[in-house]
Amino acid sequence: MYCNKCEVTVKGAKSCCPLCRGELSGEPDINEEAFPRIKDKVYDKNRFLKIVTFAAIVTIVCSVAVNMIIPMKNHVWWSLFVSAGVVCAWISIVTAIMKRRNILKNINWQLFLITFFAIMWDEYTGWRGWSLDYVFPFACIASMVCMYILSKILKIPPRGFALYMMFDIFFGIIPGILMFAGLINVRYPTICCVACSIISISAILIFEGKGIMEDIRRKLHM
Amino acid sequence: MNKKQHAWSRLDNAAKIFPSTSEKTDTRVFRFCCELKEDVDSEILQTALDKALIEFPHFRCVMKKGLFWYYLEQTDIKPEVREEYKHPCAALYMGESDRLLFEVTYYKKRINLEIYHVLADGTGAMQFLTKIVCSYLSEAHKDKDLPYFTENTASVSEKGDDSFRKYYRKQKRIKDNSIKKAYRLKGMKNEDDILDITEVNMSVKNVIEAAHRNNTTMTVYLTAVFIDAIHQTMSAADENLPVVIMVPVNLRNFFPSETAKNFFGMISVSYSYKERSGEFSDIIKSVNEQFKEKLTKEKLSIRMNRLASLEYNPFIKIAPLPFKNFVLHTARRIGVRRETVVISNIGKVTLPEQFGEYIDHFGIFASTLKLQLCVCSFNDTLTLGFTSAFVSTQVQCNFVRTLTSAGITAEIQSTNFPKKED
Repeated sequence: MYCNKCEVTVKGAKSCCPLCRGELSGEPDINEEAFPRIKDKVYDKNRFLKIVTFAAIVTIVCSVAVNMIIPMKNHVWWSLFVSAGVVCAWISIVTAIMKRRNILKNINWQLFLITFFAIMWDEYTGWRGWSLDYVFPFACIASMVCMYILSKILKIPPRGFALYMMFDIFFGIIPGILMFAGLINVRYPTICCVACSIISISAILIFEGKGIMEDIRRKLHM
Repeated sequence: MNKKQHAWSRLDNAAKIFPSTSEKTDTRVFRFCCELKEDVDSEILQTALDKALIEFPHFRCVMKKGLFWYYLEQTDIKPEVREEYKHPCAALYMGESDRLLFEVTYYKKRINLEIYHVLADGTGAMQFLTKIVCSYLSEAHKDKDLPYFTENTASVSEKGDDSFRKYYRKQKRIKDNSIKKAYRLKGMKNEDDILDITEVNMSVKNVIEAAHRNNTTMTVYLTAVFIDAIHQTMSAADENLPVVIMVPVNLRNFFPSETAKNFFGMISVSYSYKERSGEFSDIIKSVNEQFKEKLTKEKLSIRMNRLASLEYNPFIKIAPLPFKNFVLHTARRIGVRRETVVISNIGKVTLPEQFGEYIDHFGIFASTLKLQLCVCSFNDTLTLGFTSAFVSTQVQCNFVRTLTSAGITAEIQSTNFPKKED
């Protein structure tokens, strides 16, 4: 085909000149078309994030509205608890979505967030110590177990998960330090957690010590 | 428990900037393609790719995040040839997933190599593509006994060298007092961050003749035509800002190196319509002078060292990766204000004569936020590859019309499927 205005030959079967949008003369030949027509993607990669964010806002607004319409005795602002809970859940989910490509890193993030949220909730609902007594050590144990099981299911080689496991382990030592600082009332979860950490770290250092050093070198090169 | 540990390597100096600054349509992916005179067979192409990869093993890697920098890790993933299925120069690095940073696709007679700029610059990528194409043709035409060809005879380790490190010399910071702000192309962008590509094929001879009629070389001529084409879309108020064309320069021509990784620099050529007449001959004169002035070993070395010093800056060195990403991304955002468009000339693709009868032409396209032109030639075909993020194709139209009105015959093919306007 030919565009008389641009004086160029246009290959393929265009409805008009790709340069000037002018009329083309000659017969269109679909076989000469150099590029495939790519189906425009309808898939929105942020769609889930948008839904979650919208749902969170709706929940918060509705709960506050209901709270205001139906007053409780003693003026209890229960909607604040709902809102704070929704915000925590939202942060956790968003982190999970953003780190979805690296599931082990995701576990580390969730461990950190859950512990942090638990301590905050405990603090602002009259400190009863449940966050440090139970949540912190059990979350550490759970993430170590998860990581181990996942690495088996996903067939991740030991050196692929060792570094993330190390993070878990160091995190798992913290309850032990808190225990000696006298901040722990119920001791058995913390003891279990520290024991798990020590067993894990010795397993990693004994079997994967060299690989870990190599991994640290590449992750930390400047 | 004993799994093989994969080798890793640092990103070369130029590549360090790319991951932090890839965004939207500027994916830092470029497409090198070769149009044959016959339809491409996927199985033979796969064999050819596997063969070529043996000589370019450092392309077979994934990019990972460290605490301070990204790094490349060798992988066992096998690249799979498939029919072209996505828009040109679409992102290849998608966060920390195990994906190769290049992809080979084909469509009808064309072989595409899409490659992330972190792996290689134009020269390195072209070496890889020519290797694939020649392996393909040798395999497809076994009876013809085509010669063994490889453009890069360097050893595997030389190909993986970081030449920026080799030539880096610490020097006093010289203040860069070039243009502060350049004219920026405006207009509506394509939906969904899609790049449109337009390929213009012409006769090298014709273009050189046209350049000679203007007493200049082809590169200067094309640069001047580009400036003029942009000027035609500018309003009078826009003329207060200069048109600035960035030109990547292959540093291998100035500093001996066999690397297939990045080794290029940039020079800028500007033209201010406020200060000068705007006559075509004057544009050529100005561009010519600037090329002469800036394309010297000393000038390029200053710029190269300035960029390299970034990597050696202790404050940048110790900053964690997310912080670096932020800083480099911001710096880039400011940096692009100083450029209007990029024109990249890869030059002549040379292959043994016997291959010529099977190959129609080569083409190059690079990702951009605005508009970019890549030029290369093979035998007598000069191929201009425009990539554009804009809906409007006015600049390309002006460019091509300038050439055709100078008596050059041109043929275009495009990913743009315009709807007829009523």
